[in-house]
Amino acid sequence: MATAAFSHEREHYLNKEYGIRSWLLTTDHKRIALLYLVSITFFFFIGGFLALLIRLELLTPAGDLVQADTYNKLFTMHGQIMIFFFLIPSIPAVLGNFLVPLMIGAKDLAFPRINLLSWYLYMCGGILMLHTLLTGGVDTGWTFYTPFSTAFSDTKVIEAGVAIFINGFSSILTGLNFVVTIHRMRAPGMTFSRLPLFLWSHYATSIIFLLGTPVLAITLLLVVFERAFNLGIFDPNRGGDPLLFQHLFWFYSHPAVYIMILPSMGVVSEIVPCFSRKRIFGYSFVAMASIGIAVIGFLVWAHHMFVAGMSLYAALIFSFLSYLVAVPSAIKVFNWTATMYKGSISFSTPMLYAFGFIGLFTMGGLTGLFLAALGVDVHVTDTYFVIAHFHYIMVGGAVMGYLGGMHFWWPKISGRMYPEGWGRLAALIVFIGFNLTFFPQFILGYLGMPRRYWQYPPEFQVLNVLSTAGSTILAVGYLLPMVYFLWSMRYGKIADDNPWNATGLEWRTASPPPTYNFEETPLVTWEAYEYDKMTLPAEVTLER
Amino acid sequence: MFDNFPLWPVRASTTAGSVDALYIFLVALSLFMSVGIFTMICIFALRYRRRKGLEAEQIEGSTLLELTWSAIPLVIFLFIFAWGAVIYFKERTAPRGATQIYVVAKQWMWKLQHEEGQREINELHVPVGRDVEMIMTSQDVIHSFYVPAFRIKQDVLPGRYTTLWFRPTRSGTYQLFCAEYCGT
Repeated sequence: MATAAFSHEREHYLNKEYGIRSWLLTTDHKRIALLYLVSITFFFFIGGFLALLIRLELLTPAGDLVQADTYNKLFTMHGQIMIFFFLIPSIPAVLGNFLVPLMIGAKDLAFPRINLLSWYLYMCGGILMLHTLLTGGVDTGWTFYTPFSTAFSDTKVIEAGVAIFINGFSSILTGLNFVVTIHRMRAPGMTFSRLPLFLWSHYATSIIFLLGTPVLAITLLLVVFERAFNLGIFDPNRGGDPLLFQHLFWFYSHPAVYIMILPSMGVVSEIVPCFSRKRIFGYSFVAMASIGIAVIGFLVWAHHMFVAGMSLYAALIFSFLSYLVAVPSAIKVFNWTATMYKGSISFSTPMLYAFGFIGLFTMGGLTGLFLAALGVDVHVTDTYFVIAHFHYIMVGGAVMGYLGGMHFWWPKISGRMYPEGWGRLAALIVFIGFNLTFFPQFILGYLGMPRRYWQYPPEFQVLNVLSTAGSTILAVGYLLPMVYFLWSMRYGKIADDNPWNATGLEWRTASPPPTYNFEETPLVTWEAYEYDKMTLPAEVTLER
Repeated sequence: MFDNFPLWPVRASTTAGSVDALYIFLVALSLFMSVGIFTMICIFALRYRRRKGLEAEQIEGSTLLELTWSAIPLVIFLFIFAWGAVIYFKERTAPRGATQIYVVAKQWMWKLQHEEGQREINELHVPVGRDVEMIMTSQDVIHSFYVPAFRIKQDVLPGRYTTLWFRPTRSGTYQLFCAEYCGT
């Protein structure tokens, strides 16, 4: 304990400087990661609060808690805030920012000042979004479908569009930073074939950031132009084409799903080997599956439009390509499962989240097969089946991965351990609450309950009540980690440099790391996940 | 009590049966896959749980296994693709001689006109056992014509015509929803 107390006095990135200036003007990737952590957590709870209001309204078939206008704004802003201001930045901007340099043995990202700029862009977009929310909101659905958004809605469409437009540049800059950093700043010996899979998935994500986000920016700009200056781009009354909007929008917004899930897959690929004490099964297949998902993911966007009025043959092509993109996801699930075979498996909190991720992602992926099947999609698209499916991927998958990663790297980030018992309990509550919230929605969807309805026929009530009940459990599960993470910053057990005995470079420096990460540039002579060469500390080995 | 808790939608058109068949196949496949994966995970998690005297055994991977579990899902996926495409092809191709109904959607109303000129609003009466083709357009935003009991849906766009057809097989009163968000 004496040594622990002594090491606490050591200079590291958290105690090097104090004061608000030292945070707002920092170029340290680790501090910027924490700036992001605080901001996205804030938006997560705003988005979550809106979701709870939605669920409360749907408790009864009649529209009683809020009026239709308000309800439309609730689901619109829930979607926009959760997608653009929480899910897309979540793992890349917090864990990615913190870990990309550490994992490759670099002092910082390639462009530290651009990194800070991307946080400021995020905040500008975020504050504008909050302003939109507080001064009336927007009611177009997060998808901004035209011509409703450009010619009929009388809410703050332009403001919300500009907010997301600005925020998009924060994504582009983060992607740029990661790509350059991974190419140029790897420590000697850290070849591409030795990269942790977390970095492969961030590399794939960054490619989507760079190639996809500009298309969203252009699309939103066109919406703003049509609305503000009456240009006829999407509105048929002015000579435009509403389907053009949908093609442009989904060209970004489908790959955006992979922006949300790929980093989470990266987290799981770190956690599963560590808590199984094994090399990952099929390293190169898991790595290439990430790249495959990023590439094929760009070719499937129109599967959101099978009933939109597209040609029959276009629909056939996009259905076919959607099945191809399912293959690399399946490969990953099989490899994680195989990694556990003959391992030495511990049930620590991060591993519980990884189990949760694999389970929920598998169900999300399998229900994706339903939606890619043209004949079935016609019936279930735009119903609660779709809502359930994408929440299984983006909340069940992405958020489980995010929370698993937060627990796994929390000792490195904060220098403290979170309380393990509470961690396991929260993971269990999230898993149960999630399934209770979203599983009934699959049934509702097949029964034909359309999405975005504030009132519904009474026969759908029982399933809606189950879903609302689940959402309150889920809320508790999400609040718990926030409480005990804050608690642990002051009262948590002091963390070792490598409390999990993990193989990554980030564990070979102090917890929390010094400002420039490593005392001297590391020389890498090993492959990722050489768990056979890492021995467990005595207390862990004896755990029953 | 079960009036408030249905688990399956009414099947009231010729399309409904074929959509349900593929859906049931997909449910069965999903159950098989997820139960398989979850069972493996549970077995590994219990059998190889960390305990004294148990060391992890290192396995790098197996190209043969990787190829197998890439190829088998791919074949199954292509099979589902083909099945779904056949249903869709039928859904999108109206049979010759179908009775035509003209539909104009607007915020927030369906205006429907039969071939004989008779008009209806928000309701449509059609005979059982006869093919009906809807020729639809919108006056304002995008709407979507959706009858869950028939398992059919088609967006209705301003500035162009879209079509959809069905053949009711069971008399009754069924919900007609607008499935595309069209504002308040």
